Amino acid sequence: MSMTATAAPPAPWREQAFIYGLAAVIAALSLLPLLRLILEGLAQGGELSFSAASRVLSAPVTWTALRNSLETAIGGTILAVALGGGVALVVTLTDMRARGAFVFCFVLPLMIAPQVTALAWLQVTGASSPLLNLIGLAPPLGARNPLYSREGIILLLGLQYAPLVFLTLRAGLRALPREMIEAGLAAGAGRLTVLRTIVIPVMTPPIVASVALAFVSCIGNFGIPAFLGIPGRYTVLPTLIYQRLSGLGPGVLSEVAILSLLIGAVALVGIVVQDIMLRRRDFRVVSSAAGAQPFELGRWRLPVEIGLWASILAVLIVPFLGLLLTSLVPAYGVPLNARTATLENYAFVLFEHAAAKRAFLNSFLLSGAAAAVIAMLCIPLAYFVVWRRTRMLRALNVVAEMPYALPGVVLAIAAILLFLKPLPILGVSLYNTIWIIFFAYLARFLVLGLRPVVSAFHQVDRALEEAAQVAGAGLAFRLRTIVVPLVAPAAAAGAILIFLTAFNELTVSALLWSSGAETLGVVVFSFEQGGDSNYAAAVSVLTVLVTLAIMGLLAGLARRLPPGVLPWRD
Amino acid sequence: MARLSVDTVTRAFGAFHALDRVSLDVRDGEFLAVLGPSGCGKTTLLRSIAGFEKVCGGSIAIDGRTVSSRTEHVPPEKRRVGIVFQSYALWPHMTVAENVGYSMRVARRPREEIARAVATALETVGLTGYAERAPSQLSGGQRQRVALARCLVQSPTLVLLDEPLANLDVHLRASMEDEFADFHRRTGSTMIYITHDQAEAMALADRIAVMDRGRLVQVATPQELHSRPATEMIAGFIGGGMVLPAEARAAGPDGTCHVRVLGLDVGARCALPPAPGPVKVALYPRDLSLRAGGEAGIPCRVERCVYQGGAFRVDLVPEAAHDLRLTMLAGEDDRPAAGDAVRVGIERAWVIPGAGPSA
Repeated sequence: MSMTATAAPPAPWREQAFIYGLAAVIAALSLLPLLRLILEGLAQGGELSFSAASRVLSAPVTWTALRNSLETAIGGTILAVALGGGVALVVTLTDMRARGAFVFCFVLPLMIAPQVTALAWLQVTGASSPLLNLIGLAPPLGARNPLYSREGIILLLGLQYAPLVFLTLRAGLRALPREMIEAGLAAGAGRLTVLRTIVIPVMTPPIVASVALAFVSCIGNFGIPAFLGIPGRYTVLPTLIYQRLSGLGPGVLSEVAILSLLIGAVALVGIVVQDIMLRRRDFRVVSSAAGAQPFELGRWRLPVEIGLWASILAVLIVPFLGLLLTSLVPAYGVPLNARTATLENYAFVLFEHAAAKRAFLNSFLLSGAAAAVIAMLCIPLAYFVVWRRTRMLRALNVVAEMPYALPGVVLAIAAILLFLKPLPILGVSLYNTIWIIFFAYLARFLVLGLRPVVSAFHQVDRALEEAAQVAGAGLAFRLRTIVVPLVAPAAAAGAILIFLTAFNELTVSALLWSSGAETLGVVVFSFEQGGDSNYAAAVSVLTVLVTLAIMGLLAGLARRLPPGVLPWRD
Repeated sequence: MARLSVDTVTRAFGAFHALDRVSLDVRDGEFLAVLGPSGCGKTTLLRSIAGFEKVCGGSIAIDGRTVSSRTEHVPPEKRRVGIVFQSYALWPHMTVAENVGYSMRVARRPREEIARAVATALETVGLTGYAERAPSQLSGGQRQRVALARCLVQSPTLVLLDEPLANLDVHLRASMEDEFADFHRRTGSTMIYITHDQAEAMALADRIAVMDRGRLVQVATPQELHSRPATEMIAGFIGGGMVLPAEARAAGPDGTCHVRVLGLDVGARCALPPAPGPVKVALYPRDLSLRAGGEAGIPCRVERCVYQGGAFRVDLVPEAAHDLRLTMLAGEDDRPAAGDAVRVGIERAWVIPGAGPSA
């Protein structure tokens, strides 16, 4: 191989310059923050020393937080796998009706921010719950909300990530050749025997991968333990990092860097396991093979369908009804009825509260700009990675996964380390400005935009580009007239996914925000921490409405996309 | 019109040689088919000529200008070569007219000039009135014609066709073959036509280059390839030919010689009279005939007799060599039945050059 590489004449210099420029941008977004963080772990403040590390690692609070993190992550994973896996089996292998609508509803929580989920559940279960008050079952005012506990965190983590497990397993189950099941049935095995001896063993890689994915997501989650654990004095690693940093400022940066390396190391175990199990497969891309003949549920069909839709009612409808009702209550503790219901909370957050007003604008601009910039980066990047197989960019493509796969706090701490001091040469400081959030969004969500474009390039015949080349078109002209139009739908879908995710994001901005650079997630979090649940609920309802509206708009684009790009589309 | 010269070109992927010292000269305006089984390197050859693959050794020159060598590589967009792709490669986001006019748009020609050239090209391929259609609204044959028109507008001096009929059904192929022959006559451009279908190659090409495992094994006219195959592989690949072991006896006059095939003395054609000893001969089903009682022939048993529209194909097992199979043609009236013992004569044969028992 090296022989052919040295024998081949070099590519034109302009193309080389373009490739190096692209590589520099991708490396700055993915490789640089991680290297900076690792450097901090080895040499705090520039000297090779382990004093901060030993201080952090000998503090009991570190180990309590780690234990709590592991407990909630493992508990949440078990719940998510049981729920998501069970539902995936029933939905994919049986003849239930209205499957598309059910999948949409079941996957929907994935598009809603964890902190909004947490807020919604708190509104349903708390003393001031308008829903419980309506039916007279609310606990007395002042009673402790049962969700402020380890079990509460586990419950919500499980509900939040069950759709993730569902999607991974459903893709795997659909790729299962129907002949395998039919051969088992033909050999005289009953349906449950086929499930036990054929389906589950064959599905081991996606099952293990989905367990690992759920674990990594749970361990890095900030919104749920922040809303439930901080009031309940139950600290996990991400909330410990947040509390140290917001309480003591950047002076403790070395210590929180060690903490974030610790959580990154725990997550890395899950990432590696998942990567091995799903190697060379994009879990969202569904195989085109004909699905297995569904098992007939017979007289169990109606009860199963009722059970499934009841679960949607319980995990989706009820909490968000609670959220909606809370946003209509004039003040904490006031009973809700036709006379007291008000839209003033909405008016307040939209028109009066300065930080909330800014946050709407900031989140819109940050998410929109991140989506647009990433979409523009991803088309040439995926082009060189998939079609041209440029070695340097292929390596960076793997690194680009890390800022998204690792917990958000890890990236946030890395970004602070990078930008705390003014940029060299330019002398401009990004720290305490909105630009540090923008950088972190670009780094974190790059891969969300990249994956759909990469799968689009895999599906387009490269002869389309070669035909343009033969017609005399140079690289820039080909990219503009042939390549971009062909992959534009996938890039647009990726951009919208980025917009939705960034718009609802809290983990990164909770550590990076500053006055004037608030995001919606931060505003919801501050309202809730200050006891203004009604305002928090009003902002949350608005973000959920924006999310739903954008998902609705995407339905029009769906037909032009490679299958599997939109997670909620069946 | 362009002259193409490929000089000892090698392309290796690791230890695998996709092209192994391939040399080929194509004259101005010639229609050359490159024929071979899949994996023989013919597509790599086409992609090297087009510039999509770099060469590891040797050189490629178009009209005397070197475009590929170890140290030089002219990118495809600078070679002025036309290609008709196997998948047609029509751009789905452009109309037929935009597809056809693309190369002129690249060259920044004025709009009216593009429109005129597109109209002419579409008229040539019989697609007038389809200019505003999307490629997805066309049939397979129409897409093929759009790909041809797109190539035509470029007025390339060298046209490469990569298995252009592989995706069409059988009856459409015949009419598209005529279309290609027409295209060649009209434009006079040099054409390289890649195919694995020998009938297609025979019908279209001035000369055929046969490739096998990365090497060029014979370049010849269709008639010559058929009657004087250079290797066993070609003899077996072309026209349902058979290869039989034989014994060279003595040289005859004018490129003939005497050989003994399965105990029968036969007069055969040869390139050079072979030295006495074992050789291989190539022959076709129509070179075999049944012999009457007293005449000399190879004793065979009839294995099967299959009707093939107008004639019968008779599969025979020689009594002296049970692992060989002979195939001949027989008419309705004189066909033998399965299990019959018959004697078979050989009317014509060709001694494969250099194909002794060691080869």
